[in-house]
Amino acid sequence: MKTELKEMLASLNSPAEWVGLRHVAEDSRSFQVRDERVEAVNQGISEGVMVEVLVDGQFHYSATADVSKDGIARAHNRAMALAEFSKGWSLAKFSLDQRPKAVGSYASKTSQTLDQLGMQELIALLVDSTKAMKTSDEIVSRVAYAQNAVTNMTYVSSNGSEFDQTFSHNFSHLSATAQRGSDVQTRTNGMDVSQSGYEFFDREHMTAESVRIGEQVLELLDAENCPEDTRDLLLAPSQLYLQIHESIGHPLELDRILGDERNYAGWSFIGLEDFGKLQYGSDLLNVTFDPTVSGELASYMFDDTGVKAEKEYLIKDGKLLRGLGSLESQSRANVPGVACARSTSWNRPALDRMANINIEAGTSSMSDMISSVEKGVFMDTNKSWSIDDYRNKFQFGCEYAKLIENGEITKTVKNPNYRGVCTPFWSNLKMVGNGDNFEVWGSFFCGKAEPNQVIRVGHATPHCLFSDIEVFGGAR
Amino acid sequence: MTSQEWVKNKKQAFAELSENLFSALKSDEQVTLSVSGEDSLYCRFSQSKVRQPSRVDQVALGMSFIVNNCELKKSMVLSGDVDKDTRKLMSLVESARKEAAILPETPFIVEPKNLASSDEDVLLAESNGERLLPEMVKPLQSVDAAGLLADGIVFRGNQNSLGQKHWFSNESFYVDYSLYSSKQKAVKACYADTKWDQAAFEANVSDATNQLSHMRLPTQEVKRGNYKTYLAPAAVNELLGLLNWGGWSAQAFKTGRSSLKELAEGNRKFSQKMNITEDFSLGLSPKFNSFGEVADDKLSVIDQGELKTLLVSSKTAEEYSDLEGNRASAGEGLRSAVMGTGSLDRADILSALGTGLYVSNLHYLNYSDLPKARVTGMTRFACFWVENGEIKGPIKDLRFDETVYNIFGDKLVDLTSFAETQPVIGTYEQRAIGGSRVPGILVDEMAYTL
Ligand SMILES: [Zn+2]
Repeated sequence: MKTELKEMLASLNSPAEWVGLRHVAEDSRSFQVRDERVEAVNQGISEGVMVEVLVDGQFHYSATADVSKDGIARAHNRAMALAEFSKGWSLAKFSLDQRPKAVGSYASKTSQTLDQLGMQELIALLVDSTKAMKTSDEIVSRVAYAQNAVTNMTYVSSNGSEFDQTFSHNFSHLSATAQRGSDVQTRTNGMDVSQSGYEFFDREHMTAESVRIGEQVLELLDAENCPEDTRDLLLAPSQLYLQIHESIGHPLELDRILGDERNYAGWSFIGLEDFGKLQYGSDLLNVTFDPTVSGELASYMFDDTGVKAEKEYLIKDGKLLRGLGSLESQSRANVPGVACARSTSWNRPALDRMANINIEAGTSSMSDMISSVEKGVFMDTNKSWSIDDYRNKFQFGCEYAKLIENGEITKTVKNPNYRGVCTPFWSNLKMVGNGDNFEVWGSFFCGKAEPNQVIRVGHATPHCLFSDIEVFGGAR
Repeated sequence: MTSQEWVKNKKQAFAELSENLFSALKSDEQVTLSVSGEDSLYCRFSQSKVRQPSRVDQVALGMSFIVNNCELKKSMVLSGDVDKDTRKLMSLVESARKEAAILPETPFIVEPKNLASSDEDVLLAESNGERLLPEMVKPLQSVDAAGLLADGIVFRGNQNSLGQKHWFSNESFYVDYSLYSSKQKAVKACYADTKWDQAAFEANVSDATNQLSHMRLPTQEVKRGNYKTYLAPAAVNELLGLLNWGGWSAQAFKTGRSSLKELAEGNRKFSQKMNITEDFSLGLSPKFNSFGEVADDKLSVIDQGELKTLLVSSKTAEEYSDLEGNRASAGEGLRSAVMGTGSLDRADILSALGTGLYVSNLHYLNYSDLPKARVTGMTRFACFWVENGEIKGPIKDLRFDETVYNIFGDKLVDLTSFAETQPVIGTYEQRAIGGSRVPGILVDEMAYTL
């Protein structure tokens, strides 16, 4: 593809200051089984090119699925027409400085293809997973889902960039719903994701998870509601990943801080003046942008503008250092950023996105944390999330919780929720788990931008303990 | 190329591609094809200046392939070159055949039928085009505006191997935007239509600018607690949007995932003043679904507070013998919701509210207890504290946590006598289609928790 794209780029003879062609091809497969019956076997393929031109200091974009020479030439002309009409109205002035020359190649590490695993075996595995969840007649629905997406991106530009990246992303979801009278409980494996091949869909692991889910959903039917008071909160990575996403990742996006997202995703409680100064959380809080973690969902070599991705501290010892901003946002904001200009596919421009945003491991074991708690609750697996447009006042619900009383885990409670405000919450971080309780999570579904884009992000974190958090249960 | 020519080309390409595929099918194979496409101009703006303008020309094809009680779904993006697209589609068919041969059956298949075809194009003689860029930003230069302009043609098509055909296209634009005061208080506005009218847009901006002046009053501190609340139509529409997330779905109800479980079981009711209808006379959505079925013009979902029916797709009806299908979409959500109005006139809203919160928009809703329909979310944009019928000033965003049965039921005082049409402003993957028409509501008490 690279050679063809380079030829097409040359044949454009573009009058623009700079031209980039980003070709994206994706092959996504998903499989769903409900109650031991096949519900969906899907495949989606997509291919197209985003033509990007720099004219009068502004980038203009035109997307086409016609990847022939004529198709790309037409798309290029449409981008140039936009430049003519938007002349004099651009928000910021950019140059080649925001499109560095990038040369290289990246591919996810994979050890098994779908053919090697076998589609029959994958379906059988999903059927068996739903079978393993059937622990009682009170279970009304059992779902097992597997998805793999292979995405290839090839990028060439008029200043000599040429790189390609191939990603293989996976997602498995196991879910059991049980009903007793007016009570309904659902237990899942959360959003189990990875960057790998089909070896991710491991029979032993998925069967064990299915058994656990089937047992715990019944435990929830028997459980009391989560208490409503203020107490210590121990969060599992299956919940904490989304807490990081919503209350650290999004507020640190420089384009949000600059106001570009005010009309849709929202703004940020962080100001540009806070970088290098604001104490975001307790001094135990260390947060990194780390595109180098093997197997984490958003590991990559270059962002979609050709910036080399490297690990950087966003928050160190609780202090805010750096934003999630592309070279474009960095030049507008004059704040340090990272290689985070990403797009959902060939049909959208790249903008400031999270990649892997991780809490670095601390020193506490699980038993250290539990034994330190007099009155607390342990919450596991995100169920519900909501946060204001400044990314400040949040509320989360989890699937499953256990009380912690006098240093010990005691009974299961259902419908656990908690709420708080961003920096006070992170300031109440009092213990950070060590490498033994560190887990890699992520999401296929981070939404942002106008026009809208969804993107895959990674979040790795140990278990963490917070003091004095408002918790509560379900409706009475 | 005119819009008519562009749509004609796409329609013809879809017809040729379908014919190429259908003529290559074996006698025991059945196929339904769905197509959705756009030729769009997108321009986002912030500080009333243009950012990342883009053109998108794309068509996505979805295929349901049925053989031997096995259904496989394949989708692809069309390049526009019919020969190339046919080759790609046939290679997907080949893999579907191989997969069907080795996989277990997929139960509850909705087989294609040939009942009735439809064809509807609502296009402009002359497209709005790129000239909208300067025309849109000019009237915004005395304010700080952020938002999105989306303009162009959107279409949906459906064709099956028995010969049934449906087509719907629409050419329209919207400017979905918000204005900001120097203290960063905001109001939300939208200008949507088919043909751009500069004077109408200027009037729209001028209205929003006037509303922004209310935001200059001193900000009111509102503590947590229960307050009488007026929810403007855009806020009510957000609540309806959340209920569309499985609430009306018969499939979700049968599998324990419906938020309206207690309503569906008859244990709870909404207020007698509540009426909700799926009403395609709004003209914003095609009446056909991905199965190729045409919905009735009107379907009453809530009648005087009682649930008349859940939305039942033919697939769900295949699975559950006690359910009768009502040609719902595969996702079993409302595609063209119309909520009935009440008796509260616009001029009386503040006096009827008396003392409480005037909420123009809600944001980021989610369930805090799904089977009990308890919802949390935030106030957003122009929201005010009102005392004795008088606006005291804007508030800082508040979090609410309240059940839908209180908001639409026990605590509902009245609905407004007017309703507003809200086009769907969604552009994930493609520009979405559809909309709703809803009034504002006055609620005696809502719980604000943070
Ligand atoms: Zn997100």
